Amino acid sequence: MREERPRRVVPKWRPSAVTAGMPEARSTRAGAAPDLSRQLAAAQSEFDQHGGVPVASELMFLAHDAGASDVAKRAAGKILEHAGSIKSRQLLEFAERVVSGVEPASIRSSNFVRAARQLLAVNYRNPVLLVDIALELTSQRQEKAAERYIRAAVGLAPQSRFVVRSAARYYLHIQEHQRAHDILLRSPLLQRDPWVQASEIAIATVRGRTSALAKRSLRFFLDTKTAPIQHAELMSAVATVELISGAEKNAKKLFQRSLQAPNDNSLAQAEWAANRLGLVVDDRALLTPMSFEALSNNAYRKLQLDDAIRYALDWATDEPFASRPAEALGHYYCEVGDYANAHAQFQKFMRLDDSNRLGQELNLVFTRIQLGEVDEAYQDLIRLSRNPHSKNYVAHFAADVGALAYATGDFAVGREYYRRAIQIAKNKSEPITEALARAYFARAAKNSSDPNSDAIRNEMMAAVEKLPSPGALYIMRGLETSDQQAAIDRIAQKRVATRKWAWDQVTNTLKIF
Amino acid sequence: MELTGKTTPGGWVIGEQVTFPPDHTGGNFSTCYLVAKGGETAFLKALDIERFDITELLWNLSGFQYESELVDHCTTTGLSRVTRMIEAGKIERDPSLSPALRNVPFLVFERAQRGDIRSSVDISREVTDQWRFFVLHQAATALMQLHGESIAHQDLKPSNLFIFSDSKVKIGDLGRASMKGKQAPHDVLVEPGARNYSPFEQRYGLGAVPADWVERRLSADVFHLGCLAVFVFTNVCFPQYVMSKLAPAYQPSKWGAPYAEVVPHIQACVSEAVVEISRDFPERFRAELVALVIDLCDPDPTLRGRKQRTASNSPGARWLERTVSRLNYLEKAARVREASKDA
Repeated sequence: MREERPRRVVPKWRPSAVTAGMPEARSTRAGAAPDLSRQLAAAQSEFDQHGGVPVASELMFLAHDAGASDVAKRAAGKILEHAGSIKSRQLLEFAERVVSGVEPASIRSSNFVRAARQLLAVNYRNPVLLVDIALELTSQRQEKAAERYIRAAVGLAPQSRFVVRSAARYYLHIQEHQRAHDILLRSPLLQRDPWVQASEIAIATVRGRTSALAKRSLRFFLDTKTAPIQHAELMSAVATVELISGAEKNAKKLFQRSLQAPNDNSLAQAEWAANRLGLVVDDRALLTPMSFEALSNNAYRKLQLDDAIRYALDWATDEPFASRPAEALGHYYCEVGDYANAHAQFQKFMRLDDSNRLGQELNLVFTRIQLGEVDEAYQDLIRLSRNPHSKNYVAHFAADVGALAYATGDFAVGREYYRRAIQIAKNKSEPITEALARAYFARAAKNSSDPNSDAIRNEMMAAVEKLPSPGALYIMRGLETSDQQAAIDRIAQKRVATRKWAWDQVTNTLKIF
Repeated sequence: MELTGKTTPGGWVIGEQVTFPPDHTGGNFSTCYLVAKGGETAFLKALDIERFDITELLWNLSGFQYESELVDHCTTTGLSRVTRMIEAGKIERDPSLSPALRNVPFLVFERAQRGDIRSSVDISREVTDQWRFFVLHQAATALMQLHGESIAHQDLKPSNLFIFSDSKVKIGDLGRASMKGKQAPHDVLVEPGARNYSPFEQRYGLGAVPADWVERRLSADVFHLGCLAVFVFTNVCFPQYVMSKLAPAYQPSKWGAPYAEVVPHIQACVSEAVVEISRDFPERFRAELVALVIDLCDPDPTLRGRKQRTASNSPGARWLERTVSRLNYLEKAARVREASKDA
C-alpha cells in the first residue's frame, strides 16, 4: 500500500525567483538597516540647487534605497522631464518605476534556457542561474544535460543554501541518492543551517540511514518551546525519523509544534503523518504559501474541481520538473469533460515520466475517443494490446473499449465492456478504478443517449457513493438532479473530515489516484 | 560659520561662501569658500565645527587632520591626478570664542574651474564617447597613483572628480581615504563612502568586509571605478540598480547570515543588471564595457578586478595598471572614431 511508504522532507526545488519568496530564503538572523538621513539631506539640498539629470539620478537611487518614496518620486519626475533627450533607457525605466510605484513582474522567457545561456555568456560565475537552467532542463527531461550546470553551481557556491538544496534534490530526482547526500554532508552550511540539516536528515533516511544530526536536533527541540519557521522543516524531518523508528510520542509532539509556523513542505509532511498519529491539521495550515499541492487535493476532495485545477496549474508551475501535477490535471480535466486539455496534460506527463507508460497511453486513448478521434484511438488500442504488460491494465483496456463503442453508437458493446471493466477492477480490489469506470460508464450512456442511461446512472450512483473516488463522485454529480447533487456534496464533505492521502517518497508529492 | 573677509596665514583672502553641493568636497562636514591671492583663485574647505557636538567634533577634527596629511603627502609626492593642496592650517574665526571653537581648520585646494564631472557626462546632453572614456581613464590613473602610495580613496564617485581649465580631470576629497599603516578615524566605518556607490559587501556589515587592508579598501576603489563606468555612460548608480533587483529576503536589512551565502544571489542580479544596462552602452564598446563592469564590480571582493590577473595587476599598488591601459586604448579608439565621423 502506498500509504505505508514513508514520505521524507526532501527539499523542494523551485526557480530561484520563487524560492526567494519562501521562508527557506530567509537568513536565521535579521540584518540592520543603515541610517541614510544625512546623505539623503545632502543629496536633496544639492538637487534643489543643481537639479540636472545626473544629480537627480543620484538622489532618486539614494532615496529609493532609503525608502523615502516621495523624495525618490520628485527626483524621478525631474529625470522624466528630460525623457525626450535622455538616451539611457534603463534610467528612464527605473524612474518610471519609481514614479508609478509598480515593480515589473518578472517574465520568464518562453525559451528560458536560451535566454539564460546568453546571460551566462556575459558572466558564467552565476550559480543561481546555473541551477535555474538545470531545473528547466530537468523539467524538459534533459537530466543529463542538467548535470553539468548543477556541478558547476555547486563548485562555484558550495556555501549557498539554495544551490546545495537544489543540487541535492536534483541528484535525488535522478536516483543518485548517495551523491545527493554527499553534497549536503560536504556543505559548510551543514553544521549551522537548519534548512540544510533538514535536507540531510531526510536524505539520510532515503538511503536507509540515520543522520548524526537527528539525535542532536531532537534533544534541542525537546528542550525548547519555540518553533520558528526556520526550524519547520528540520523539526518535521526529525519527527519523521522518530516516527519511522517507532517513537510516536516524540514524533507527534514535534509534528504538532512544526504546525505552529509551517512551510509548505513541513505541512505536507504533517499531513502525511496525520492519519497515523491522529494529528489534526486545520484549514489555517492550508493558508501556508505555496501549498498548491495540498490545496489542489483539498479542493478535489471537496468536489471543487475548478479550484483543484487552478491550484494544480500553480503546482505545475511551481514544480515544473514534476510529473504528478500533469497527471493530476489530466484526470481533473477528464472529470470536468475538458478532454483537449486532459490530452495535453497526459502528453506532458509522458514527457516527464517514463513509468507506467502503458497506463498513461490508455489515458491518452480515452481522451482521443472523447475528442472524436475514433479511428486513431482504435489503432492505438490494437497496438497497445500487444504490449507484454497489457494484462496488468485489463480493466483500463475494457473501459476504453466501452468508451470507443459508445462513441461509435454501439450501446450493447459499450455496456458490455464497461461492465467488464467494473468487474475486473472489483476482482482486483481496485476501488478507485472501479469507481471511475462506473462514473464514466454512466456519463457515456447519458451523453450517447443510451435508452438505458437512467437505469445505468442509478445503478452506478448506488455503488459510487460507497467507493473512495472524489472524481467519480464529481462525474456522477453532473448527471444528477439538484437534490441528488446536494446529497453527493454531503458525502464529499464527510469524506474530507477523514483524510487519507498517499505520498510518493521519491517525487515527494501527494498521490491522489 | 562665517569666514568671509578673513585671510589665511598663507595670504589667501577668503571670499564668498560657495553653494557647491554639500558633498562636493567631503560630505556635509565642511563649508567651502572661494579664496584669492594675487589674481589667482583657489578653493578653501573649512571644517564646520559649529555643526557637531563635542564627540563628533573631536572625531571630525581628527579626520580633517588625517585628510590634510594625506593630501599633503599626495601633493609633495607629485600625484598629478589628485587635486593639489596649496595650504593647510587653522584660521581664527572669532577671538571671543572658547579656545576649542576659536580656530577653524582649513585646507586650500587648487580650484576646478569647471566643477565636477557630472554635468559633463549628463545623459540628456550630447557627450562624446571619447570624453566618457577620458574621464574613466583619468579616474583610473588617479586611483593607481593613490594605490602606488598605499592610499585607498574609498569614496570615488562622480562628484569627487573635478575638471580643471586644461580639461585635466583630477580626483578630490580624500576625506574618507585610508593609508596603509596609518590609522584613520573613519577606518572603523564599514561603509566609508557614499551609499549610492558602496560595494555590496559593505552593505552587509562588518562581518562581510575582508579583514585585509588591500582586499577591503583597494578593492572598494576598484568597485567604484566599475560603478563610474556605468555612471558616465548611463547616469545609473550601478550598485543601487543591482540591489533593487535583489529579493527582499536577501536585502542587507533582512540578511543576518554570512555574506558568502548571499553572494550568489547578488551575482545573479549583477549579471541581469549588466545585460540590461549594456543596452545603453555604445554598441562598438559594449563588449569591452560589459567585461570591465563585470570584472570590477564582482560582489565577491576576493575575485574583484582579477579577470585577467597578471603579476602586474594583482591586488596591490599596480592593481589597476591593466585597466588604465585598456581605458587609454578605448579613449583613443573613440577619438579616432569620432574624428572619422567628423571627416
